[in-house]
Amino acid sequence: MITLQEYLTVAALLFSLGLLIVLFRNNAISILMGIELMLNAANINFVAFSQSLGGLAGQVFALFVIVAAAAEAAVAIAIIVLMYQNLGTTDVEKAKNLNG
Amino acid sequence: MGVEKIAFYILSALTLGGGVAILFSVRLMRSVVYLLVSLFGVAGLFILMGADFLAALQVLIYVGGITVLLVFGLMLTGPSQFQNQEENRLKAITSGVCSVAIAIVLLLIVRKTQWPTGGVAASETAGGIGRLLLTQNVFAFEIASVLLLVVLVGVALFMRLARSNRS
Repeated sequence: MITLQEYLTVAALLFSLGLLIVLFRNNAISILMGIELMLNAANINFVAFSQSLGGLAGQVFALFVIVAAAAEAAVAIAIIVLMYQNLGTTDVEKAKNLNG
Repeated sequence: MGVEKIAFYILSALTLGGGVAILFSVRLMRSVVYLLVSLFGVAGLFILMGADFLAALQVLIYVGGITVLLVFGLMLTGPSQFQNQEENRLKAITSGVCSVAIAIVLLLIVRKTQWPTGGVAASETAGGIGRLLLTQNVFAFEIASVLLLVVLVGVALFMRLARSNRS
């Protein structure tokens, strides 16, 4: 039997890995991948709590997180492609037109 | 050590290993493939937790949808962006310190808290989720459908406006 704490440990490690990718990488698509990892860590937490507390509310919540992640990825890819067309790069450090 | 435990360790290793590989891979196309491995690991963890419907959705939406979308985005942004540039040392150190601190705090929280247990996991997930979606969570369900519609129309409009601006 796998306890709740083990699932939460995996989710915590996955979350901090995603955060590290978001902070470390410059490329916008890499950052998007890090965000997907963080959302997946949240989903693992939801499903683990749903399993240990009983009921299905956590799984329904995870479903909504997946829907939001799909929408977010579509909009983010559109923004990244437009950024490439306008600036010629997907490096987020170079996108500083509003820097003043 | 039971079969369940072994499966748990293998799936966790897949999930976390995929994440580490994304972090260290230089070529973006490969890191998309590592993301695929990581998402499959998460789907396996869902099955282990008895959430089979959610695991199927994870494979369908994440592995089949978002990864393909990422490859599309990568292909549309040209070959000069296929590789990660060299990061500077200061940024690497700061981001490493930040995420290690967050990891330590989260792991301490997980370790020290007395988590409530003793619930009975639902046996039939797909039917139960459908029933919950159409009774208790019907408002959120409708909001989610409106969100998807708005995103679909919005992205199409966005690209069209950009194209007409350029020409």
